[in-house]
Amino acid sequence: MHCWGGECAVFNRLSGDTHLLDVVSSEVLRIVTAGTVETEQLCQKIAEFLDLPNSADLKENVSEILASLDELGLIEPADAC
Amino acid sequence: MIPDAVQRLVRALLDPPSTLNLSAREWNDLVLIGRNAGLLGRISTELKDRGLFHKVPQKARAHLHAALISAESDQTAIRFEVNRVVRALATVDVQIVLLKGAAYLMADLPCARGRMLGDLDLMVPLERIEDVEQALIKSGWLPAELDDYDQRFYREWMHEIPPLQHPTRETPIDLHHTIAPRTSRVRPDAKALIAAAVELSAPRLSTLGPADMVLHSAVHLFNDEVSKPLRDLFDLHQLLTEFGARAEFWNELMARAKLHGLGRPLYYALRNTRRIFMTRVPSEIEKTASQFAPAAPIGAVMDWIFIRGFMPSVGTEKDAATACARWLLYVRSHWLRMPPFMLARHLAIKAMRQIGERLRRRPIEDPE
Amino acid sequence: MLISDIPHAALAQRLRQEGVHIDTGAFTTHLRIGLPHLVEEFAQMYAQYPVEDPPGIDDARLRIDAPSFISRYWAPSAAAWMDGEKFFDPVPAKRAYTVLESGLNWAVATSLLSPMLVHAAVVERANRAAILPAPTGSGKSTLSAALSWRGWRLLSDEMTVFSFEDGTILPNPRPVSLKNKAIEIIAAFEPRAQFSPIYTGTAKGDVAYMRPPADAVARFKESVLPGLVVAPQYHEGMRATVKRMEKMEGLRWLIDNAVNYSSMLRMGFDTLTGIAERCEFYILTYSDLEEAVDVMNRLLEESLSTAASP
Repeated sequence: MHCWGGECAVFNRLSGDTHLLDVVSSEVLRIVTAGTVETEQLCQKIAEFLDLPNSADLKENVSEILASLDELGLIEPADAC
Repeated sequence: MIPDAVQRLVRALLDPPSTLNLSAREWNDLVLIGRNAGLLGRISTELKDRGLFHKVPQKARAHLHAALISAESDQTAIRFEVNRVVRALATVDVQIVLLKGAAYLMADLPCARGRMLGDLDLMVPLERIEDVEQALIKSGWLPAELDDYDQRFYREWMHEIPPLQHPTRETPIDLHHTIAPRTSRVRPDAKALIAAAVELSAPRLSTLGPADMVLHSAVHLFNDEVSKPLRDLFDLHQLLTEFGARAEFWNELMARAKLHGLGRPLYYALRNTRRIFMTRVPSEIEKTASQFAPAAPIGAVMDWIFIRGFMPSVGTEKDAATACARWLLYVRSHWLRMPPFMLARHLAIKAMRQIGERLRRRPIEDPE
Repeated sequence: MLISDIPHAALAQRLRQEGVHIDTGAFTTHLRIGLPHLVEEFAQMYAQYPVEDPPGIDDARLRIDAPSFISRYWAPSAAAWMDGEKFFDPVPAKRAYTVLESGLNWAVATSLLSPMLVHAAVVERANRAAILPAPTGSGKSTLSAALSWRGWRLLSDEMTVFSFEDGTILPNPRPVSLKNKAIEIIAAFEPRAQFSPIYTGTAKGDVAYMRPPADAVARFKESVLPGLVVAPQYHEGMRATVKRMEKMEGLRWLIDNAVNYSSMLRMGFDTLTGIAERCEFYILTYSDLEEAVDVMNRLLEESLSTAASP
C-alpha cells in the first residue's frame, strides 16, 4: 500500500487490479490485513480512528466498506465455525 | 514437411539452453514464430527457471518478458474468476470440474507455465447445469447476447451453454456438461468423466482424471477448431510425458479411449506428438492404438492436414498450403460436430454474419 | 550506419524490397515503404537515425504502401500494415507521412514490451527526467519541442517508456508532431528547427513534424530516472503559473494515461507508485513558451536542491 494524505493505492494480487481507497476504507483494510477481526471490534477501532461515537450509522458504513472490499477480492469473510 | 522455423521453435522448447547459441537475427525469428504459436511465454519460463534469462540478448529479453507478463495477466484473471465462481456456488451442492487451461493452472501442471489460458471452462453434470447457470446469473454474471440461432446452436447442438461473462471482468465462462458436442459423432461418457474426476487441494475444485484430461485435449485439438494448435499439441506432449511416467497410465488411457469412443483422436494425438515433439510412447501402446487408425489413404491425407494446419505462421507471410490445410481442418471440425444437413446451414449463416459485420464496422479514425 | 549515409536510390530500393531496420532508441522497427514521395520525406526526417545492419531483433514490422494497384495511380492513397495486418484505413497519399508516424506510435503503444504512459512527453536535464502528462491538445508536444532547444534533452513528445528491468525511462525521440498554430509558434521560437511539409486535412487540422535536435538522437541510448512530473495546460493569455498537485491525484493522472497498466500488474503498480514516491507533481498553466521554459528550469532547480539537502 502506498498512502498519501490518508488515501491509499493498493495492488490487489488476487485480481491484478489497482484500487485507490479513501481514508476510512484504507484504515479498514489495514486493520483486517493485520489479522482476523470481529465486525464489532472493527467498528470500535474505526470509531476511535475517526474520533466519533460508535453509532448505528458508523456500523452501517463499516459494513458497506467491508462488503465492497469483499466484492473486490481484497478481503474474505472468516465464517464462524 | 515441417518448416525450418518451426523445427527451431520445437528445439527451443525441448532444449531451452540451445537458444543461448542463437544469433540476434535468429532470436528475432524465434520470437516471431513463438509468439504466433502461443509458445513464447513457455520459452521464457523455461529460461527463467534455469537461471538463463539474463544471458538472452537484451532486446529479446524484453519480448520474452512481454510474453511472460501476458501469460501472468491471463492467469491472474483466471485464478480470480475461479475464486469468484467458487464463492457464487457456495450454496449449490455440485462438483465443479475445471477443464483445459484453468485445469492445468489450478492443478499446477507444467503445461500451464507461461501459457495464456483463454476462457474459464467448467464442467458440471447435465442435470445440474440449470442450477449452476442460475446461481452464476444471480451473482452477477450475464449471459452473452446472442440471437436465437446462436442460442439454439449452443444449447441444443453444442456441449456448452452460451458463455457467461461478468460485467466488470473480461473472462468469459464456458459451462459444459460433457467434452464433445451433443450432436457430434463421438459420445463420451459424461458420468464416467465426473466419476473419475480428481479433487484439487483447493476446496470445491476438481479436474478430469489424467487419462480423460489427455483425451479431452486430443478430441478438442483433432475434432474442434483451435486457435493455437501447435501449442495444444505441445500441451498433449507434456501431459503424456508427465502422466506417462506412471506405468499404469498407458493402459488407463487405452481403456478410457475405448470407453468414450475416442480411439481415433487418441491415435492422432500419439502419432502427431511423436512426429513433432518426439514424445516417448511405449511401443505396445502405439501398436494397440493403431487399431484406431483410419483406412490408409485417409491416414496420409490427415497426416498432411494436421501437420500443415498446425503450423503457426512463420513471420508475417501467410502461405497457401497452410491456409488450405487450415480451411480443411475448419470444415472437418464442423463436420464432426454436427449432422451433415446442419453443417451447410451453419456455415452459410456464419458466412452471412461475417459479411454483415464487415459492412457494419465503421472505418477507424484518421490518424493524426 | 545512418539513414543519411545511404544513397537515395539505394535507400528507395531497400525500403521497397527488403526494408530497413530503423532504431529510434527504445524500439527498432522493420520498415518498408512503397511510395517514392514518402521515401523522400522519411529520408529527410530520419536522416540522423541509425539503421541496424545486419538486422538484429525487430520490435515491430511496419509497411506503408498503396492499398491496391489502382490506388497507386488513381486518387492515390496510402495504407499501413503492422505485422502483415492492415490496421489503418487508407488516407490520401500526400499525407502518407502522418500514417508512418501514427504507425510507429501504434507499434510502441500496443507492444507489451515495457510499462508506458501515453499522452506523456518526457524531457531530461541534469540527469533528471521531467514527465509531462497531458491530454492531446494541451500543448505538451509544443512545450517539449521548445524545451528541447533550451538546454533540455528530448526523450519523447508523446509516450514515456520505462525499462522493465530497472524502472528508468528509455528515450525514444521521434519527430515531434505539431498542430495548426503550434507550427508557426515553434518556427518563430527557434530558427534552427527543421520541419516536414505541412499536412492538411487531417482529423485534427494541419499537422507538421519537427526534426528532433541532433543531441536527442545522438544520446537516445542514455536512460534516466524520473525526477519530476509537470502537467502542462496551455491557456491563451495566461502568465505562467505553477500549482503543486497532491500525490494521490498525480498517481491517478498517471494511471489514467498508462495505456498498458492493467496488463503490467505488479510491475505497473510499482513503476507508477515509485514515481509518485520519488517525484513532485505540478500543474503548469502558461501561454508564453519562454515563460514556461523558465518555470521548468526553476522547478528543476528546486528538485535538485531538495535532493541535495539532507
